[in-house]
Amino acid sequence: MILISDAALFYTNLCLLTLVIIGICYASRLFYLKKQKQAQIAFPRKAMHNNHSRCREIAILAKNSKDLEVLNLVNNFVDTMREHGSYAYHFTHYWADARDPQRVVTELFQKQFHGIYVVGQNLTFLAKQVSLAQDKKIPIIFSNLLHASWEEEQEKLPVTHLTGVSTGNDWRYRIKIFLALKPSMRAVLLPTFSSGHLPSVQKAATILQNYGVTTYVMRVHTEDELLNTLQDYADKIDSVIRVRDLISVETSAAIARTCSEYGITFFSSFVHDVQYGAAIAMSTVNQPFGQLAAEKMIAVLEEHKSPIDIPVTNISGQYPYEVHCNQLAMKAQGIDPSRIIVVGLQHAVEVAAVVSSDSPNHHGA
Amino acid sequence: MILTAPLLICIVLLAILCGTLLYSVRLRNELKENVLPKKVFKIAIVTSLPLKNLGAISSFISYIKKYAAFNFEIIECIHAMDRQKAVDWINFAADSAVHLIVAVGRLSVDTAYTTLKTREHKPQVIGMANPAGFNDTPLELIQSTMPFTAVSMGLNWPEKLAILKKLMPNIKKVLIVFRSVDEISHSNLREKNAIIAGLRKLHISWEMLHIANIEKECGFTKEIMHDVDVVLLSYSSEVMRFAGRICQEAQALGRPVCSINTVLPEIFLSINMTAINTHMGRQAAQYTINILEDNIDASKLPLKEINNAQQVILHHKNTDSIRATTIIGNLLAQSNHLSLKLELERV
Repeated sequence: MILISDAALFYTNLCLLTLVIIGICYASRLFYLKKQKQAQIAFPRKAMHNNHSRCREIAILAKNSKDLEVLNLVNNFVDTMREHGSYAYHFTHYWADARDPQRVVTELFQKQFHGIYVVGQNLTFLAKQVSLAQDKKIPIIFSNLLHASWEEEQEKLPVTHLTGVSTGNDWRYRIKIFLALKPSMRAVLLPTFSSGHLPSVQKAATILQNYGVTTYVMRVHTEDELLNTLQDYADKIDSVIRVRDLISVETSAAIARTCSEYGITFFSSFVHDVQYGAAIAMSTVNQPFGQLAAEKMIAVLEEHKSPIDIPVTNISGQYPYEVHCNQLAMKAQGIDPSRIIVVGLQHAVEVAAVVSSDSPNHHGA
Repeated sequence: MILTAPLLICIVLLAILCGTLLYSVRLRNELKENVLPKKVFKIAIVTSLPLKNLGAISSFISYIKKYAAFNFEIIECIHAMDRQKAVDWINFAADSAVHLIVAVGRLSVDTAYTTLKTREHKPQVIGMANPAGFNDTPLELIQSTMPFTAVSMGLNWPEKLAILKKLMPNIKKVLIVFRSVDEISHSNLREKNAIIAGLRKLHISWEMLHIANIEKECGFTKEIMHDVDVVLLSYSSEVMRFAGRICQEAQALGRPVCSINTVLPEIFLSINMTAINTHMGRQAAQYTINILEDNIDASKLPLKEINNAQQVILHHKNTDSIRATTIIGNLLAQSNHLSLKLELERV
């Protein structure tokens, strides 16, 4: 027989009841949190558009996912947004690699974003057209765009939802250096993919003509066409200049191979091309396109500024040019590597190379 | 056995309690990863410069933002090379119960060790500096007294001197500059030995100059510089802060300066590793993730020395054109890829 007093049972029950209530409350809270999480997973857009949500969706639109310079720029943009921004940012990449850019941009505007970051001139103007056509004035921050083209475009059709970072056209200076490296330059092929770059390329051709160089400006549509054009002109030209069109690494390497085969000098506007066989590459490096664009995006999204109130930053002339030379390619493509010494002494402030104490002697290799 | 109604209620309640507890435990386990607020780790970065100016720190922060699963906040502790301020910051960080101190630079590392070794509560510490920062007290000793690990840049003087000899084959004598105040330092002695061993191997003679009052003058005279071909700046002593003035005084006597400092345009020839700061920052971030996420004690992590390929930077305007031409020519013989940084002015 178990004898338990009424008082003891009462207090035991009271304690158990309290514990049960606490347990049920705790379980309810956890259950509520679980449901909330499920709701977030099921309806991410709903959570995103909530004014109190601190998550912002950004679309990144660029031409070429294989181009190191573009990748660096996009990485810098993303890193700066994450480091300096106080919101949580989610980035969606849209690469117009081998696809129709119009379709990619249309696809982008069908989704909802708080801001769009566009790399390149053509894509920027395309994004502008599509946004106006669909009447979706999402803030667009651009970079890698010629300042003169931007001003011209704004005069034609002014918009308020675009701002960004632009650059200048320094062909005169670049051609001077190219001619210092190759004084025997007589005929140059200037192929370009985009109609946007055509005025700039024509300007370069005019400057070259003033130095007595024959120029062939070609508008090409595919990378294969570019290679075919180069082979067709191989006996007429001694140099080819790659403008700031974005092409794949494989095509760069193929151009370099063709140039070495025919003794044509490959001048590039992208410094990493020397690794793929270009003799000379000249460009400004470490330009903070990505960082500056990210700062503008943060000003729009976090400080609620209108893009029209944020001026376009033209960084032309603020960063020094770097000339990268590949000696073996120079020899194969008809330039004497000792020209580097002349250009170095006359125009450079700094000459740099990566060496090791047991590096082989490349002279005469 | 008499089962009264209250006892039945008691059993029912107990059953409900057990059920609720089991359900709660299951729910909590499910939510632990995703919903419940994560712990925020406090990381104090003790340095002499603002964080934005340090490549190592920006790569450190970028790396942990990308790869760490934990949340963190940074406490920026800038001491501007003032030892007392550094001590105050270290004490503040330890009192604020930070989870990790990242000490950047020789002074910060040294101060972190001397300040924390006597304290009862020692936060985890990662040192990021040149080897001189740790050499005065052996790392094993530091690690036996406190949770400490370090990421260091390999100086590798023999390799640097071999490159110097290839670029300037006619070099006969080198003047190595130290500060008198650092003469008894253990790290200084190590560096001296490394430099001398490298020079001896290359059959280059040397002379050492210990500058007493570097704040006012370097004490270069024509007699000292008589047969010297190159002035070499040491790294472990604090001559690097006065590198600009040393270069000016040496150039006034027609002698080029060689250093591992790649930033100063007054230095004629800089030989240092490529992207060393970025790699140091990344390695420190990797250690941070090991300490805070994987709960590995800092004293269990070994000293990591970063050794990258050597980069030569020549500021040819600091010497006559004949010497500059010779060195660029020799550089062409050593490396297939060269880069020229052009003047900013436009035509």
